[in-house]
Amino acid sequence: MNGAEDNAVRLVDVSKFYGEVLGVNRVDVALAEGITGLVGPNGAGKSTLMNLLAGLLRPTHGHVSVHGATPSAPRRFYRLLGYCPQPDAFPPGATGRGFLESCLRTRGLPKVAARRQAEQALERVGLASAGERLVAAYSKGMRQRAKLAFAIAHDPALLILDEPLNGLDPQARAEAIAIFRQFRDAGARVLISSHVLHELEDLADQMIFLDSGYLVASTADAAPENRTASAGEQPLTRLFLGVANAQAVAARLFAEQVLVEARLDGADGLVVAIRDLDRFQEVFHKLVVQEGWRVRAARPVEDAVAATYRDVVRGGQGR
Amino acid sequence: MVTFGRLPPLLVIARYALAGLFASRLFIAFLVACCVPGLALLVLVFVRHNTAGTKTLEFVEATLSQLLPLNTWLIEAARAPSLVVSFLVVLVAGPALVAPDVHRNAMPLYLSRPLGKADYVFGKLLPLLMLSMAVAWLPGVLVFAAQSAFLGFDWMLAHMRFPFALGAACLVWTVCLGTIALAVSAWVKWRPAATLGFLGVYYVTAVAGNVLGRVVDGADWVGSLLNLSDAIDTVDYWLHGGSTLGDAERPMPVPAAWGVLAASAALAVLVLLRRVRATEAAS
Repeated sequence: MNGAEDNAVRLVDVSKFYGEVLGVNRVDVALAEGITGLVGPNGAGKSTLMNLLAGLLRPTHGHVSVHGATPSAPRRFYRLLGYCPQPDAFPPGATGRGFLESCLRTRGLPKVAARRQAEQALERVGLASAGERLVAAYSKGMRQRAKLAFAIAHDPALLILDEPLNGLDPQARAEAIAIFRQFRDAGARVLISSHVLHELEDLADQMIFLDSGYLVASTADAAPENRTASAGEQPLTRLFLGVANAQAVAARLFAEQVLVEARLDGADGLVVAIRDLDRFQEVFHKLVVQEGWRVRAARPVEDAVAATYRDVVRGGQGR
Repeated sequence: MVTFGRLPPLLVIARYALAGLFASRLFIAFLVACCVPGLALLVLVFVRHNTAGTKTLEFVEATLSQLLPLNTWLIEAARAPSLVVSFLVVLVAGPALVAPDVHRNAMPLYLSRPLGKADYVFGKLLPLLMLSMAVAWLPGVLVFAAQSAFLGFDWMLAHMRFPFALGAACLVWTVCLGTIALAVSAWVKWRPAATLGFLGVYYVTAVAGNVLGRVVDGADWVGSLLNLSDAIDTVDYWLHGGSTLGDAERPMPVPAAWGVLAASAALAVLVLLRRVRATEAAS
C-alpha cells in the first residue's frame, strides 16, 4: 500500500443490500481533509453509509479503508475513528464519566489515562459538572453532547457524526461546531450528516449528496460525473433577476458565458445559476447600462447546497 | 507490554457489567441469600465436630450421625444446592446483562470501538461465571476445607476430587444456562420477557423431553436429550466419580449429556452473535 492510500479515507465501490432492500449502491468516494457534509432525504442511505464507514456494517460489495486500516483489523481501525451514532442510546445505569472511562479502557488505555481523557472530553463538550450523573437523567442535548464526547475522547483522525447537532441549543451548537473545526484544523477528516442544509453549507468544506442509496453528487473526491464543483471551484450561486424580456436577457448572459444555467420565472423573471459571482456582477452591470435593461429585482434565491439538493435529490425522485 | 490498569476489552465489559449488577441493593441481598446454604453447612460441620460438653449439640450430632454418614452427607449436602444456586444466579442476572443494551439501541456505542461481538458476548458471560463461582462453588470449597480441618489430611486427600468436580459442574452449568439466558435476552430485548423466556426455554424443553421419552421406545434417555437438567445431573454425577455409561438412576450416557450441554451453548452463542449487532437490518 502506498503513502497516498495510507493517508486516505475511502469507500471503494461500496454497496450494501439488506436482503433485497438497497441500502447504498456502488458508492465510490474519498473524504478529503476537512469537514464533509452528507445530505439526502430520509431513507437516502446516509446512516447506512456512515455505518459502513464506521465498520458497523459489512459491505455487500466493495471495501472501506481509513488511513490504510480496515474494519477487519479493529484495534487499529477504531483507534483512528470516532463515531457519534444517530440513536440516542446508552447502556443503562451508566454515568457520563463512567461510560466514557469504560469506552477508553476498551481502547486499551490504562485506568488513570482513561480517567484523564474522559475528563478532558467531558470538559470539551461542556459536561464536566454533570459527569457523575446518570446518562439516563441527562436532557436530550446533554446526551447528544455525551455521544460527541464518546466520539472525540480518543482524539481520532476521522470523526463520523450522524446528525450530531440534533437537540442542541444554539450555544451548544456553536460549541459543537467549534469542536468540529478544531478537529479539521488539526488535520482530521470529519463527516457530518444533517438535514439543516444552511448549517452544513457554513460548516462543510465539501458535500456528498445521497438519494435512494445512490451518490448523486459530490464536491468531495468522487467520480467526475458526480461532481458539482471541483476542489478549486466556487459553489453555485442562484439569483432571481426581475427583468423585462427575461428570455432575451438570459440569451445575452449565456452569450457572455457567465451563466451555468437559467430558468424563466414568468415573462419578467429569471432564475440563474452562477459559478463566478464577481465576473457575473461585472458583466451584468455593464450590460444593464449598455442594453438599457430595466432591472426590478436581483436577490439570492437560496443557498447553493439547498439548490443542489433540490436539483440532484428531489429532481432525482423515482430513481 | 502489560501496563498496570490496562484490561483486555472483554474484561472491561465484564467489569462494568458487574458494576451495573452491584448497583442494585436487591441484587446484593439476593447474592447474600445464595450463600445461606453454604453457611448453614459450615455451621453443621462445626456442630458435628464441637459437641463436647453441650448436651443439646451432642443430641444434634447423634441425630445427624444416624441420618447422614460423615463422609457422604457433606458431599451430598454441598453438591445439591450448588447447581440450583448457579441456575438462580443466571435467572436473576442473565437477562439484565444484554437485553437493556439491545433494547436501548446501545450496540453502536459498544461496537464502534476495538471490540468484537465475541468480546461483548463473553464479557457479559464472565460476570455470570464469576458470580456463580462465588456463591455456588466457593461456599462448597469452604465447607470442604472446614471438614478437612476437622478430619485431617488423609480425609482431604481421599476427597480431593470434590472441590474440582463441584467447580467444573458449576462452570459447565453456568456457561450453558448463561449463554441461553443471554441469547433469549438479546432476542426479546426486554428484561422481564427475557426472564420469562429463559424459564420457558428451560421448562418447555424439559416437558417436551419427557413427552418424547414416553413416545419413543428404546433408550430410556432419549427424552433427556431435550432436558438440560437431566444432562447436567449426569455430567455432575460423572464429574464426582459416578458411572460413565449411565445407570438405572441416570440412564443418560455421559457423552450424550456433554453433547446436549455443548450443543445448547453453541446454539445460544450463534443466536447471540447474530442478534448482537450495531444496526437493525431494513425489512
